[in-house]
This record gives sequence, C-alpha cells and structure tokens, in this order.
Amino acid sequence: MINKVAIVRVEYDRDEAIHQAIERAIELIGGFHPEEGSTILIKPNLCSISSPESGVTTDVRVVEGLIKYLRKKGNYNLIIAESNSDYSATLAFKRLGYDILKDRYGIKLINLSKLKSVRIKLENSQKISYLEIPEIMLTVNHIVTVAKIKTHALERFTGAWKNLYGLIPRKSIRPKFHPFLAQILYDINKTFMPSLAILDGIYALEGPGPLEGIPRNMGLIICSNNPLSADIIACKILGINHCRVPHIKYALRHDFRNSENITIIGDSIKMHKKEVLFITENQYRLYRLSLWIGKIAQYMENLSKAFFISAYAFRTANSLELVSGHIYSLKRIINEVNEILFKIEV
Amino acid sequence: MRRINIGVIGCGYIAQTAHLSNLLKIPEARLIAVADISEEKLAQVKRRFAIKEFYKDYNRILKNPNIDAVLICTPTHLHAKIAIEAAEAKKHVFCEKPMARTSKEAQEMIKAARENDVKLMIGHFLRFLPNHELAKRYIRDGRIGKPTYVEAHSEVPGPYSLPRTHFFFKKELGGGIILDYGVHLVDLVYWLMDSRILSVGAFIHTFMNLEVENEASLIIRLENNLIGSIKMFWVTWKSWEPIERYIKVLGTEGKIISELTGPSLMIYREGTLLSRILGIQRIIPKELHPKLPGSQYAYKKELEEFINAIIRDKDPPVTGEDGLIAIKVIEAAKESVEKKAIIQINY
Repeated sequence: MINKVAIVRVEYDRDEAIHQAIERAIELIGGFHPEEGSTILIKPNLCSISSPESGVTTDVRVVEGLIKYLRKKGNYNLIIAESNSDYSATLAFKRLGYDILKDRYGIKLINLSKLKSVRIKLENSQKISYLEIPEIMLTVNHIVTVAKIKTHALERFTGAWKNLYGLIPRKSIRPKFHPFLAQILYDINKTFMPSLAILDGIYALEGPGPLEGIPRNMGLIICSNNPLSADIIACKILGINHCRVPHIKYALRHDFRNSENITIIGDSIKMHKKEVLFITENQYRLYRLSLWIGKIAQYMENLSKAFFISAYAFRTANSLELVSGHIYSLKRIINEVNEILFKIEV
Repeated sequence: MRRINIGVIGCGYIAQTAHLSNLLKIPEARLIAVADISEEKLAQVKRRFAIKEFYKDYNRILKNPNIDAVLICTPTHLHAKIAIEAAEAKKHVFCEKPMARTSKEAQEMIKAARENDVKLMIGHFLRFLPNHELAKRYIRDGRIGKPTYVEAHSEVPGPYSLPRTHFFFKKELGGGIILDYGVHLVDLVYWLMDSRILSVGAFIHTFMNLEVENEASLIIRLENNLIGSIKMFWVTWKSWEPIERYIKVLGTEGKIISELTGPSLMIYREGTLLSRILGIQRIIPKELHPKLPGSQYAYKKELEEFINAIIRDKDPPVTGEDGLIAIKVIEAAKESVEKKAIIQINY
C-alpha cells in the first residue's frame, strides 16, 4: 500500500483559511469516508494549558476544520477526547476554546480520565499485557489523531504516533511506560490504529519539547491515512532523521516498514523545510540513559512479581474446587512466565 | 456501626472454603456461632477460625436471641426445613443454592420468611462476578444489538472422589448435576437476560453406576423471543486446564462471552475499531485480578449484600422468588427427562 501524505500551507491568522486547508489536505489524500452513523473519536494534543501559538497544543481551529469537513460528509457521532496530563483535560477543553465546538457543532467533549475504564487483554503485543482503556473506546468506529509537531527531549520528535499515548486514561501509570515508550506506542497504535492523522504545524515546537520548547512558525498542515507516514514527513521537514526517533525506528522494524513508502501530495518538503533546534546530543543521551535505568528497574519489579506468583502457584497447585473454579496450575504459570517477566501489567 | 450477628449452619465444603473466612472479613458482620452434625467438621472449623460457639444441634443457634441471621450451608434436602424454622425463630436467612429440592419446598420457605418478616436470600453467587455484571450492562445498553441466543456451558471436575453416600449422588437428598449445579446456570441465564425461561427440554447422561445424572443438556425458550441452551458436565478428569465454562450471548450486532467464574469477558461488536483490529476483545473488570478467578470476590460480595439488605431493611439482591424461578426450571427439566417432552413452565 502506498501511503499518501499531503502538505498544505496555511496562514496563521485566518480561521477560514485554516478550515479550508484541512479540507484540502484531507481531499488531497483521497478523502475520509467513514460509514454513515459511525462514532469518530478525535484526539487532539492538549497536554498542557498553553495556547496553540506556544507550539504545545493542537490549535482548536484545526479540529474545527476537521469537524466542518466531517459534518459536510455525513451524519457522524463526533467525540473530542483527551485525558488528564498535568492539568485536567476538562479545564484544557475550556481554556483552549474546545468548549465552543460543543455548542457550535453539537459534539461531545470527553475527559477520558473521568470515564469508566476497563482492562483489555492485548494478544501478541510487544510490551503491554493488559491495557486499561476508557470504556467508550469499545464503541468507537474510527480514530482521528490531530497532533502537534514538536521536538521531544526523550524521543527527539513527537507527532501523530505518540499522540495516542493520551488515550491511556490514568496519568499515574504513564511513567511506568516511559522506559518502553517505543514498544508501548507500537502496541497502542496497533490496537487503535487511527484512520486519519492530521499534524498541526501552524506553530511547531523546537528545543526541549514537548512542553518547554520554543514555538516556531511553520505555517503548514500535514495529513495522511497513516500516522507514521505523517510523522516521517514532519521529521524530514524539521531536519530530524526519523530513523533516530526511537518510537518511529521501532515501529518501522516491526510491521510498519511499509510506512516509509510515501507519496507526497500538495506542497513539497523543500518548500517548508526548516531545521529546528534541539537539545545537545549529550543531554539527549543522558535522558535516554535515565530511561534505560528505568527499564532495568521495571524488569526487576517483574522478576519480583514472577516469584510472588510462582509462590502462589506452588501453594494452590492442584487444588480442586467444585464450584469456584480455575486455580492457577504450575503448567499455566510456566506458560505465563514470559509474559510476567517481559511485559508490563497495569 | 450496626453489626449483624450471624450463625452458620452446616460446616461443609462451601462454608469452609467460602463463607466463614469471608464473614470474618466483613466489618458489619459478627460471626458468633457455627453448627454441624459432624464433630470432625466442627473440629476443622475450630482449628481454623476464631469463632466462640460451636454446636452439634443447629437449634441452639436458632434459640440464641443474640443471633440476627443464619447462613444455611447444609446438604440441599435440609434447606427448606432449617430455613422455615429459622424464619419462625425470626432469623434472617441466607440459604445456599439450590434453594430447595422442589418448588413446593421453595414456596414454603418464601411464605415463612414473609410471615415472619425476615429476609431470605439465595446464594447464587455468580451474579456478583464483575464480568457478568459488565456483560449484563453491555447487553442492556444494546452493545451487541438485540440478544437472540444465550448459551451456558460448564464443565466441572466431577465429585467422584467423594463417597457414594454423599448427597451429591443421592436423588432424594437433592443430588445430581441438574439440581446441584445446573441451578447456578439457570439463575445466571435468567438474571443476565432479564428473561424467565418459559419452556425447557432436557437430556441427561448417567454413568459410573450413579443413581443421579452426570451430564445434562437443556434446550430452552425464554421471554423476549430468546432461545438458548444450558449444558453441564461432571467431567472425569481432575485437571482444570482443559475445562471450559462460560455463558455466551449472541445478538444482532455482536456477541458476548463471559467466563463463568471470571475474570474475563469477551465482546465482539460488528464495525467497531477494536473488533476490526483485535477481533473479540478480552476485558477484565478492574475489581478482579487478570489471571485469577473471581469466585472469592463474588462470595464476599453476596454476603455483603445480604448484610446490607438487613441493615438497610431492603430486599436482598437474590430473593426467595428468584430462587424459586430457578427451582421451577430445574423441576421442569427433570419432568422433561421423565416424559421425554418439552415442558412449559407456569410461574
């Protein structure tokens, strides 16, 4: 499959121009055609209460352009969803202008951290054995990721692929995932593969992102049917080697190799290319080292858990219960040792 | 804080593995006395649990004015007699399943509880498993469209190591898999679907020279135009590894499979993102450990609900009437076996 990525220039101060740019970008990649009546979850990046001009959060006008496009296309149940970060997502909706969309277009704004959640089992995953997700995710038909183009001190770059990290509703468990971010993002994106990815590059972020960087006026929108392809093109525009972005490199090595097979439509990379500033290589390496130490700590915790569960298995093996059922058997324990040791449970 | 003083009558398997330890964990309950005709069982309980009073005669529990409620954990043939006497002694009653051997006995239990203004709850603990609660909510919310078919299937290692004199193997004492075990499945189907079973046809299989059936297969028709089947097996192997136990509901837009004793629920809904990518999704409610059954959680929850019903003076979540419905289905299944016919059930 050839992945189409559209690059469209946009002017910052004209709302209507932004809406038109979104529509044009989507149409350039062949349009977006969900089934009538589908539930579509739109995931912006609202990881902080910072204006879009800061380069940190998704510009509400980009999301509005998407909503207008979808309203024209058909009758869909549209949801804008984000989880709590350092700030409440509910507060972010209010202060970043998303509340207005609720009334204007009759859509739902959902704080994923406040919904009922369930754990699902991820079979054949890289790192997550069980993932806690908001219950509403069980009813969603399509996800559209509307991310910001930013540098990231731990990962060099963050865009559409990492934006789905915000689907994890409990903020407190995210640090546990940080040392394995590449694998975790692979698992999450594979599970919730977005049907459409839009990157808000009106203002991007350079320097020590994703929160403390410096805004950079790029004046562009990137759109693709493949979130990883969108990120690869964004990296090229920023002058970042995408193969040195750990989560992109990991995804390309596992199942998503095809994402590099890209046809660019609209503007060229050259027209927008602006090399961005980043932290020094030594600073970056220090961040990566801290993650490696976190990894070792997690494996030690897993080892402790494996011993604990083995002790339980030895204690209860072959217990026969007539009604209450399935007691952990030794055989089952052995089968699951791999999972206990090398995956992360939440 | 009000505490409910409790006496447990019958110290067999279910009392020792589930109820006694869970009662000791519930802050609003105070386990005062236990009774069992077997001195050996009383001695086992004495060794394991910090309980003050031990009796061979359960009447001493019924006569104790300090006791508010009793748990009846005896063999099935004694349920009705003890429950009625307990109600007459003004004790609230929690009766293990099956409620009684016959619907006549069950009705007498309900009447006694009503006349003496005491609570009567039946121990259908499967209802309290969070995966079934989630399944019920998803079905009610239309997550699988309109339900069309329900199937309960349970293999369980047979109690063959017990002596043949055990009540499991005696028809007149309430033995046989249909009554002793099938009642769980019948109640779960009724509760999950919010529909009573209107007609039933049953087939049984008896082997190992037992006087009761080892296996049974029921076909059922429910209210709301639903059809279904309930299958139960006392299997001859002891390992739990190959065991399958679940309740499955098919709907017009998907299906749900809930593991009988937890912890998981599997759901498929046509067209959703997760169903497209993952196929059937395995969901584990947060209350349960993802790798362990939720039975103990459910046993504790049902007792908490019973005590809560007494404290708040409200109906317990599994009433005598609920227990009667399950017994009527079991009776009809037995009649079906005898008459080789489909039996309509009158409620």
